[in-house]
Amino acid sequence: MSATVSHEPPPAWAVTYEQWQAFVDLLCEERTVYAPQAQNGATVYRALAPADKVAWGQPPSTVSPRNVFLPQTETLFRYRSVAGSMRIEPGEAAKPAVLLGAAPCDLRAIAVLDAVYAAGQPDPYYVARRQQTVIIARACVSPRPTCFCTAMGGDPFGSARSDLFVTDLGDRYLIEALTRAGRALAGRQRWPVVCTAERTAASRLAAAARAALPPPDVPPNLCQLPKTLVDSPLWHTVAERCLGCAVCAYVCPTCHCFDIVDEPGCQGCGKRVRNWDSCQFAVYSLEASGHNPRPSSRERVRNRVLDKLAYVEQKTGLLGCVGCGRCVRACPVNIDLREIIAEVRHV
Amino acid sequence: MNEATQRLCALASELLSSGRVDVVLGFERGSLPLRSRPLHARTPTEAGRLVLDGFSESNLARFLCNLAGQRVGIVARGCEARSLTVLLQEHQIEREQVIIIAVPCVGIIDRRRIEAETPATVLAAAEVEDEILLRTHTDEIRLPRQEYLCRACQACDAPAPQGDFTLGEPLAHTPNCNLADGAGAQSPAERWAAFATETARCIRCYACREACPLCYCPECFVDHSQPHWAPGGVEPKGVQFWHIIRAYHQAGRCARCGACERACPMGISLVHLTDKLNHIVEDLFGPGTGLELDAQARGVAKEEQG
Amino acid sequence: MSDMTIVQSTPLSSPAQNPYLPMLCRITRTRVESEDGSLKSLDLKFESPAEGASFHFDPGQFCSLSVFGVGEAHFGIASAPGEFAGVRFTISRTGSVTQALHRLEVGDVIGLRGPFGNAFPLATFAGHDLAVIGGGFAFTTLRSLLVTLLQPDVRPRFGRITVIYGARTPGMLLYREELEAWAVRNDVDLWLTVDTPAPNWPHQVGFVPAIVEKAAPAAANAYAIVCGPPAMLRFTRPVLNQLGFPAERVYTSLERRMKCGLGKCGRCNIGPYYVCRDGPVFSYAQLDSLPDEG
Repeated sequence: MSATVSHEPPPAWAVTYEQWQAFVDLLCEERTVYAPQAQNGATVYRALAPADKVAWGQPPSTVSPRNVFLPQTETLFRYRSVAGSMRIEPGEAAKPAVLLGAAPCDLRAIAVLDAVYAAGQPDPYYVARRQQTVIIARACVSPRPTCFCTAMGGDPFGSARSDLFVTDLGDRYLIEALTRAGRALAGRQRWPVVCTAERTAASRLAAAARAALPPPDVPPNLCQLPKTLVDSPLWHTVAERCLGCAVCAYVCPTCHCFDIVDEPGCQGCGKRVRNWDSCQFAVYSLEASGHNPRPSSRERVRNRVLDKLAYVEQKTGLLGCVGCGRCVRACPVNIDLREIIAEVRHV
Repeated sequence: MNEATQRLCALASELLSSGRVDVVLGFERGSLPLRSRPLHARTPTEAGRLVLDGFSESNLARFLCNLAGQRVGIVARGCEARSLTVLLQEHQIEREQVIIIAVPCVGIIDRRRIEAETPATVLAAAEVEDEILLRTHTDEIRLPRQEYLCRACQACDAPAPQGDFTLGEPLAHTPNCNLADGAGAQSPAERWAAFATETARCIRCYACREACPLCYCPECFVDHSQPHWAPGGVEPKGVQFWHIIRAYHQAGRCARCGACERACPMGISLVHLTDKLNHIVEDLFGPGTGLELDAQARGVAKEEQG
Repeated sequence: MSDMTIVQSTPLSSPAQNPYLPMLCRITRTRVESEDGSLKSLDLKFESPAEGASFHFDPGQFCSLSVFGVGEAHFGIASAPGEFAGVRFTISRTGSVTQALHRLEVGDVIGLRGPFGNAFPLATFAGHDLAVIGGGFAFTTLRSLLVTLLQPDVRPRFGRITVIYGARTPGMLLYREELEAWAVRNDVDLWLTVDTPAPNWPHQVGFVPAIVEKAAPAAANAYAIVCGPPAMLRFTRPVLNQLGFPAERVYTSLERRMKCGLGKCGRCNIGPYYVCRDGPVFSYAQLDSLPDEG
């Protein structure tokens, strides 16, 4: 939910690219800035070092920025054997950070992660990082052909959950401040206030982006799972091709499963870490007895898709898929979630 | 390729309707430009979707171990045939289980390179003679096909297998590069630095393992908990251990098809690693994964009787 | 910072506020429960009196036990709340963590997180008859349930209690002393069974589903609780159906591979439910609507 619930447009400025770069440089001095960077054709969010270039290419990135709030590998605590007992020290505290260049689909995904990690018994590691991280999001002026955020109820110019929202007008950036933190950051910069023509230009870009995307078509509420869907041969057909790797899960902005494992060091010390995990691995649900409730690819594929389309919504009220299309681009065997969603509607 | 595709569809349809096979493993057009994807065709109608093109990135032999008990017609390029050889040598499949539909391969197109070099969004792609045609919003781009093949294909010396059926004339292809090029000239420290840098972006998704026909272990060493061989996650120690041991497990077996690096979402150069070990094994133990389906595996463990 | 719908930040360093940090417990008693040594009970006492004093649980809940350096595994609590100063778990030696737990001795320190999960809905069961059915190792939380129910100030709140418990052999039955005590009580109807005939065995012979059929607990105004391996559950369910137990009056405690215990890591999901958070106690009315993932 946004701090400002008013009918006034949020305060906004128009800045040159140079002014923006200076602002980013300043942020890098004060905080760890996670920005999209190109790594051999893939775009991932990594901490910016002074010489690094931000990959401002076409959104969204190859791998989502989920790692900013849920690092792929994280130390939960360190332990040390001490005088017949144990000494436990929690992992590192979160540091002030910036998530720079998140896409609107990623913002909606953060809402899902909040509903899982910050609700109920809050995950203190996640909560600390969320509270220490300023989010600067970027409008999707030219979505990819694989994007379908609008079909899942999203918007390429959706700014909710960001502190600052950046629209590239072609020759300058329009910056909007959505929250108090955003206003504080922008206020320090003495940027020129936006004019009407610039706001109009942004609106036109928004309309064009929406027109390039599929129409809104949120999948039916699947809280009552029809038996025809659960038993559908669709899952078997998809599963035949599915490799059972974790590419879809790891590029996804809403996936959040993890494994917990001890990494012993030497002499009675070590650490407990958590690592991303995926329900697509065969061993994910394998029990020590040898029994596996999801013994074949069919059950695993079905579980993942129904989690995105049904289970997350039942748990949180939010749809589990934000239509970013990352899995569609990255799947090594071109399993296309859009095709599966279309089939699910028909069943 | 068009005529060959038609013959493939007809043959597949015939094999299915006559009951000689339960499934034909091939490729169909994908949902994205520059992509064709694996197809398990079980009816003549489905067989009508089969294609033969340069966008077919997977190694179909990977799906054989899941089809135990079924008779499979497999579309086999050089990649599939070389992997099949090893699967047969290692007794993972029976010869009678597969009907090999050999197709001469003209190489797989390196779509990542095309995507990296094309700033505009590619909306459609087609192969026309010796060119690749790309269509963007504003342009039509023509690329010379031979220059945009995957490195594994450029280095391939065995693209044309023999099979139960052979579609089309075998094409000779002289490899124009060596996958392990340059590695020999580097010092160990340089090689380690290159390896560490390349694998630093690994996200442990195991797409490489799952795309590989020869990674068929029901329980991979990284999933063992007793003993816990290697850390999971993305700390360098665990990542490096994973890639080194996997390369060792592939030594002398790897078909050099490149399916692993095409599956990798981070574009890590993987065949480079295994290929170096392949060369070492070949130098020490003789020529390697070729296309002789009857050849003995190099390492054979005999159980002592009595 | 970006607006969040929830919560103040919580410090990482106290188990009370960081549910991933284990509390330290010392082993006060070990006891092998089965003749083959595969089932062993550990009694634990909290190192910190404050943590011990604030540890409250209900029958049906579970905890994770850590052997530092090996890992964590999850176990139903076998003791009843307030039964003694400490907590009891019965461990089946199957994987790396359980093997490590079996090797520990009195005085060793391990980690404990919990209690997790929901409990048997005693408020719902009150005023009704109960059929408590267990197979093999799954009897652990049923011990916690029965010790609670049979307390003098609790027992009157419930109707007839029938207990049917089976194992492969007499030596595999857990909690022999408790069973012997319950066998002579007149406020619980205890049926013990083993799979195949055994010398000097005075009780039933047959698989649990068959003995449920024989004992035929009356379904009217009754709840059934069934805990056991997947095969036993599969064959007991039709017997209960036949006896007239509707899905909403048959409860079970599900087993799943678990990690966080908090409903965060996703591993134990079955449909939209997390077994660690929404379960492990479920009615079949809840489970019947989900994909069949035994």
